[in-house]
Amino acid sequence: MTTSAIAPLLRVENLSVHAGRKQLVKDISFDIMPGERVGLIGESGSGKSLTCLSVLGLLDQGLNAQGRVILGSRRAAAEEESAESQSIDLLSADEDQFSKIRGNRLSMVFQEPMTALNPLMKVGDQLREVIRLHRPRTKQVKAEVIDLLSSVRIPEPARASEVYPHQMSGGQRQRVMLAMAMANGPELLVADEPTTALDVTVQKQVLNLMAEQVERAGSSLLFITHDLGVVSELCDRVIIMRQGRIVESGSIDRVFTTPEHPYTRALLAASALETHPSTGRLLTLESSVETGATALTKVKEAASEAARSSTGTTDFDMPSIDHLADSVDGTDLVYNQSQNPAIRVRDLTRTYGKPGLLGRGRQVEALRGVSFDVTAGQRFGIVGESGCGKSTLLRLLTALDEPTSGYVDVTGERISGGRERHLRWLRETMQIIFQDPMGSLDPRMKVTDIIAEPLRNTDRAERRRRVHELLEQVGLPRSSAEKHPHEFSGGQRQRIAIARALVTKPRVLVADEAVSALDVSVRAQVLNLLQDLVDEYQLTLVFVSHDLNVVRYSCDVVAVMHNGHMVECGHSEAVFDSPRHPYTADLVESIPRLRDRAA
Amino acid sequence: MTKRSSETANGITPTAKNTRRRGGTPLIIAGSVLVAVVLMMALVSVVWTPQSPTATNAVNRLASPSAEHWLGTDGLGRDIASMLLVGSRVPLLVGLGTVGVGFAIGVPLGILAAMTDRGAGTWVMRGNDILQAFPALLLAIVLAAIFGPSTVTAVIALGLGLAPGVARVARSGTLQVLSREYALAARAAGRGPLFLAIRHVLPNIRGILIVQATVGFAIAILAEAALSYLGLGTPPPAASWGRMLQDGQAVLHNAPLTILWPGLAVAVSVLGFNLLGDGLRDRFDPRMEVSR
Repeated sequence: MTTSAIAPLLRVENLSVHAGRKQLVKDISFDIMPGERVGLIGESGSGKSLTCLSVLGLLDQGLNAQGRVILGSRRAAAEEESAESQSIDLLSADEDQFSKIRGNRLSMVFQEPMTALNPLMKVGDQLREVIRLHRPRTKQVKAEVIDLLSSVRIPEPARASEVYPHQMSGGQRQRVMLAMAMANGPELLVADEPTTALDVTVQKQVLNLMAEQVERAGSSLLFITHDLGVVSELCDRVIIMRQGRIVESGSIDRVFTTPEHPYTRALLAASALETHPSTGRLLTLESSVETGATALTKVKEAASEAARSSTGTTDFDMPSIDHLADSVDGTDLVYNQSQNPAIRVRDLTRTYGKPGLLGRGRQVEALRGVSFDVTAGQRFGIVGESGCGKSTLLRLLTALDEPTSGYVDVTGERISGGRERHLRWLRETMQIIFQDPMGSLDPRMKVTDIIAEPLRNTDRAERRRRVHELLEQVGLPRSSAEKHPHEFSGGQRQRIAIARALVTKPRVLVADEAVSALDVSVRAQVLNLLQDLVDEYQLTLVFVSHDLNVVRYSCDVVAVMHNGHMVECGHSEAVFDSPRHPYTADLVESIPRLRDRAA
Repeated sequence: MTKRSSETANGITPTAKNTRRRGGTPLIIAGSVLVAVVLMMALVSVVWTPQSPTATNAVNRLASPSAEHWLGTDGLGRDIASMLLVGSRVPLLVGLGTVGVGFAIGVPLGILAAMTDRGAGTWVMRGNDILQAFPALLLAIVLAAIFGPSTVTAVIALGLGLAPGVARVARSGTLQVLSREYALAARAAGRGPLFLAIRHVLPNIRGILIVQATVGFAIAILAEAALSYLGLGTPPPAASWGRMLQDGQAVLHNAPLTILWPGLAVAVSVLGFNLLGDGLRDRFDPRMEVSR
């Protein structure tokens, strides 16, 4: 191949990564041109992170990369033949060569800005170190640090350079990371899920900033993510990986409008939470894509359709729901008011911390007066960003914490202030599904014990029967009962958590970010399952999430929380289509959308 | 936590399922072998010894190793090999007893302290601090002075000395477990604190407790030897390594071998338990959940 006018900046040739005998990345090749922004998409275990770590030479011990990863010669320095500017095979580079390249020609932004910054060093010092390391002769480092901080729009950069990472918000920390990565004008910026840990509004700001910085420095970008929406806003080209292979690559417009590979089509459908035109169920991804079966699932469609027509869509007498938004003067509104609600919440507040001596104690008002009702059979969504008080609200709803003032009634009975002994009925009536399917299952317990945990006063045979019944309902084989949680994938573990929640035949189900930790395709499956079971058990569902799309799909009524207040509440469609509160509007606006560019 | 686990899922580290980390294996093997040797000595001594370990022989004092006396005799003409074998029982019993007492007190207290972190737990841990500030050996000497030297006194004193450390470890392990969502899930399922402690906490802190036990065992063996050496441990005529060391001290110049053997025995058994503890720590500590 003759060298064309523009040589690729990064050329990955036949890259394979092995862990022992297991091949995790299978012989992949791609190029990144100077100034090009490439998105690398894949679900858990697709090998996308391993690919990017191989490029940076940061693979864990025990992992072995083969192939070639060529970083092209530095564009401006054709004559200047220093070792730093020559093209180099990164896989065979030694630590010395890497330390000249990393942070200088290549730089990286990690997922979790808290752990990627040194907690014991001031932000300014960390930036200074990066500059000094690669450009020791730089004068006026301090001014440059402040410049960098202001270029990533950190307010009061001079002051910000003197603070420690924990004094900043997550978004600010990620901006500092970006400033560090861009400090030496790298040719390639590698970003590994940099906005996954951030709220949507902050994510949007950081993404915009990243695009702007990369453009200004003329750098290329390799952006690794599982979120197709994010990629479509930021990148020119996209590479889709699955099980260690590249299944499709091409320009964003082409791939997102006319995807060729069935997996890509399925992934697009699943991330957009597309529903099947006739059944109204979410389209999911079959695990057997590779065997040539069409990706768009037809699984259980007939079955579920039958189920639906027999039970009928749950037609509760739903009172008309007022679409209310928080008034400016801040008087407490009662949202979604109803006569005989399953859950009644009034003037609920929760303050953490103590007022110390002389008023110097730290008090955090997590919840500042929230009132709403949830009607029986309703699917009530609560959305909000981190710190808005939704987790606190959830703990109060489930009586895992005591409110500072106000009360919660469940099916007409007061649960706030009750002693644990008197809450036994509640523990059967109300069940919770947690966010992290790894953390919410005891690793030392067998699945059967996990599922049967909420059951009291039942004999062995009955427990066994219920466990088997539930395993069947959540779509797991009976043999799962004798296994331990680590033998299951994330989606399967969440199914186990759902089974546990339903074992007592509760009337209210509270789901805390129940699908946030799952891959998009698995997410659709779990949401479908949840919807089926909510219908079947005629549950009242309280669904807490930061993901507006998910809430929109799975809930009838949605409430938006902000700063410990509920600011808006109404029918999901109404709230998202015509938000009344400015914050809701902002939130809706910030959702990364798949087809924005393609359209 | 969540971030960590999603990172794992992204393939940065292979899933726990496929390549379970099995660290510390060489250490565990080496430790187990040494511990097994000591254990065998104790077991053999119950049924058979080359000579009587208590029979003195004024004529045959400080004899060199021979077919009759494999390791020679000591200052009173007793057979060193036999004493060495019999002497291995006491340290093992003391180790077992100490760990038993220490865990019986430390583990419940530690779990209790963690589960009532705001109220009683604080007081438990402060009391723990005070107890920890008191050297176990000193406590043993005091108890021996009051109740007279015996194996039981030594075990109680050393067990009391071990308990605060165990409580501390149990507490931190419990706090870690309680911060996980499955503990919250159990509460939400209406399970009381006792169920939580027995079904969730204990199995999940088992690993770090086993490490504590092996290390405690090693400390106890060493401490028992020290106490016997001071004459505050097992009283004569029962043979014990510490007492052999003391007896040998008097004839050190004439027959250095008399203290070489018991010294070596103490060193080997302590080394064995320490190696085992280190190996188990490597296996259990880094990630509690993959240790099964």
